[in-house]
Amino acid sequence: MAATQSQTETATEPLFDDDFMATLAYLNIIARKILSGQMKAERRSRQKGVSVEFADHRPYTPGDDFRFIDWSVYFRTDHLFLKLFEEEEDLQVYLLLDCSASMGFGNPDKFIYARRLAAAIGYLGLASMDRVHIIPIVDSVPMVAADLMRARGKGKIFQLLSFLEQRESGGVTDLQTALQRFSIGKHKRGMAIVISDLYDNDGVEPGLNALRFQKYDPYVIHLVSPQEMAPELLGDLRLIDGETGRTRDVTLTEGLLKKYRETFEAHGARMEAFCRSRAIGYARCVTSTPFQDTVVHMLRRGKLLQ
Amino acid sequence: MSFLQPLAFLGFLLFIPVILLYLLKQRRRRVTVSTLLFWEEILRDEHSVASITRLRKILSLLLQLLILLLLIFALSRPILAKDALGARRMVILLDSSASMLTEEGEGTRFSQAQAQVGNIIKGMASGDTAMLVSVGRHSDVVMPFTSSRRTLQEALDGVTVSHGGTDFAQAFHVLTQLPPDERETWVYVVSDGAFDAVPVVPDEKMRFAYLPVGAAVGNVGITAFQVRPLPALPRDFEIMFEVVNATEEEATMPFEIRVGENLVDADEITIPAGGTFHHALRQFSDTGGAVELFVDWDDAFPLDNRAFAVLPDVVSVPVVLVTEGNYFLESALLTDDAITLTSLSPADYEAQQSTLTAPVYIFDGWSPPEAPSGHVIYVGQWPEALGIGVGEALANPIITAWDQSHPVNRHLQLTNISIESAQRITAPARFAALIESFDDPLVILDDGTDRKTMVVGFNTTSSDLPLRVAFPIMIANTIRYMTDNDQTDTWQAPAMGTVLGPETLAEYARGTELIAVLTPGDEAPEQQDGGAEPTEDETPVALAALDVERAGIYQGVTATGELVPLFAANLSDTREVDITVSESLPVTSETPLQQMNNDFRIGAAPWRLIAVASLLVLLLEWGLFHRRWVE
Repeated sequence: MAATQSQTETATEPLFDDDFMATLAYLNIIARKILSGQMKAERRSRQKGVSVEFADHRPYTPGDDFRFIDWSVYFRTDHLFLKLFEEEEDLQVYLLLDCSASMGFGNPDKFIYARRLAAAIGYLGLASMDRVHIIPIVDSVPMVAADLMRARGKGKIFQLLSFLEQRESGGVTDLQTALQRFSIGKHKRGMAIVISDLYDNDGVEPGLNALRFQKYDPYVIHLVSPQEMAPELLGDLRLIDGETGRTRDVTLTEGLLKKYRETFEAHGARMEAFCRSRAIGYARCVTSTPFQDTVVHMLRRGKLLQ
Repeated sequence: MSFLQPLAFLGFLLFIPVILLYLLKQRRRRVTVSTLLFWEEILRDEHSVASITRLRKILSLLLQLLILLLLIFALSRPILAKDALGARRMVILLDSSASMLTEEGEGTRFSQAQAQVGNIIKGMASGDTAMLVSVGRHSDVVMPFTSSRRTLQEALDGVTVSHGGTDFAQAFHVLTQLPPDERETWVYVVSDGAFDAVPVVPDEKMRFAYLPVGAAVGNVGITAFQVRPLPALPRDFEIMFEVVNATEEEATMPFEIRVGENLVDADEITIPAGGTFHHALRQFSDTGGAVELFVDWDDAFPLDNRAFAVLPDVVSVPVVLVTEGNYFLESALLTDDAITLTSLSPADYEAQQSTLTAPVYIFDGWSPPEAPSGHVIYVGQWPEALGIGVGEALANPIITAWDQSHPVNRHLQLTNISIESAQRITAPARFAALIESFDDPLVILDDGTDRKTMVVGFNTTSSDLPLRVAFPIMIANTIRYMTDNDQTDTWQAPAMGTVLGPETLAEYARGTELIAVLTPGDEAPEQQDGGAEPTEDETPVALAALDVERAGIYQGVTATGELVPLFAANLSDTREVDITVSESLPVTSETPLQQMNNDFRIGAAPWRLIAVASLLVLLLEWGLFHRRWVE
């Protein structure tokens, strides 16, 4: 939980090494087995557009393309209607990566874990010819043109990894605002995978609701470290908030620690219940679990990359 | 309440750093966490607890101050006593008589008494002074008035029990000799009260506390044991002893008497409750040595179950008898084991005169012209050189007087002695009359320093004296007196508590040169080879005075390390045999003694309780504030 602990792994271990690449290849095979027959061009966008798959009718308005007037309906009803077709397009996968200072805690470091997770999911998306967007969330700003990363196809994986490697944790993140801003942005709708520890004093729920309302398909990956779940602290302490720098004097007893653990668990349970009730994918990842296991687990549970 | 160590209150200065440390408050450990989100949520609920926490910290401080207060209080050695106002002058009379050796549980009455006195010493407050008096046969001021508890304790540790009786009268007399003092005098009597009531003249400012020690009752003990020689029979002796049954039941027990390692008598005796058993018996022994009487009775006071005596060795004296023939005189000399007789005719004597070196010569019916170099007894005839005038003969003189105080006449009964005739003699002044017939001396003695001369004014063969028991006794007495071989006095055991000077010790040594005297219980020095010459360091030295304080055999050490029994000392005290503890101080006084009762101050100071209390508070403080309660 302490900052010093998180720095150790960052300094000694490369983020993406050969083993990691082998793990990605392994995950790709696993993902293909799990998601067989549902890959490229078989996923339907919610966008209406030009394709061969009829979707609906709508009344003709001046200026519409004559080619899409359904004449057979006109003959039966004497009204002009346009035929609407479902537009087949690539799935947009948005990986919203929480880069706040709180992500830099834990052992293993949550931010390392989050980037490896993002890399794995991104790789699977690229392999499925999906459009993968890495969106670092820093200081409640979800997107800055320079910080966005868009890619398609497996060949872009190194570009994606390089992009993730350059990210750093720091600053205060207002996740709710960031998600709301993202949801109203001019993006094609798609899957919005939020990778975060969900520490927001104002609550993350409005942000997730905003994604839903804006027709995104949100998925929450909730990262927790073992040190946060059960801190090994006792005695008279001055606790310092890693993000805001605020302090709090506390005399920690076993009783108080028990209450902390209960509160922490309640927060996770509350977030899961919220997501479940709103058909939002939710996965809670303890950073002590190998990330590839986490990815496979999420794939098996569905809603991810389907 | 008073305090033995008021300097301990300087410890209150420690309150300052304790409070300062509390006020300065130790710097909290700083820990950076990922978020305070959950902590604040918890602490919001715990907000009301925060004030309690502050109160707990104040309570912790108060408990720490309380621990410090209790420790300082304990170190100040408080004394709780109703009568503890002002400094006191204390006199501690510690009974060190033999009865204090009575076994009580693990120790003795004396060890209990020492503990009691130790408590009194510990209970001394600043300004108090105390004097320690050991009361045995004599009252010894072991430590004069001092305020030093340590010095008093060391003196107390050095007090030993004497094997004698108690003389509390002398101890109370010491109280009257105390210098005047403004303070009250508190007199502690630590004793079993096993002594007869003694008079006390208390001072107005004197208060008494009697601290009885012991509980054991019932004892059987030897109260007298004597061994004495029989007149004219140096190898025979008589033993007399007395045993007292100081129990409330009839007691039957065996006894045994040993001379050296030899058992000479053993029997069983029965003594009624409170009764006394006397016994006397005659014994014979070729050699001298220790005589021990043992009464086999299991009680709490074993000291008086044994008694000792010393049987002196018989020293034979060479005697030359010059006579034409005197059967009775010769027989009397031959029967005495302490005499080595050489019998010569006057002619033989004259022939051998120059070679004879006997210490005693007896000339019977004949006298040489010159006296030999030794003590001389002339019987019936003596040389003119003695200057003794001779008158007309006394016909049938009657012995009318004999000096019974003189050693020569010891044990003699000279009445109805028939003497056919005696010479009327007129003795010079240097002669003393030992036996007289009215105004005429019959036997005279010149008690010269170099030579003793006895003149018997009648011929023994013309008397029935040789047929009397008195004759050999008189012969033996005379020989021993002349040669200083009269050991009768040295058979007398010195009383317990007497101090023997070097001369008396030399008498007990009976001519043996000693370099030291071992008292009972002392370790014997390593014995040297018998033929070894004494080195310079082992040259006999003048013996110092000896205090007879312990029962048993006292032995002399020769230059070669050989041990010679000198004398024995025994308790032999009827009062000490009764070990019953007196419930009240056995004193008589015209005015009632001012008692301390329960007000007197003893060292049962509560500092230990206070120290335990501080420990308990310390544990409470640790349990409340420092122990991690794992749920």
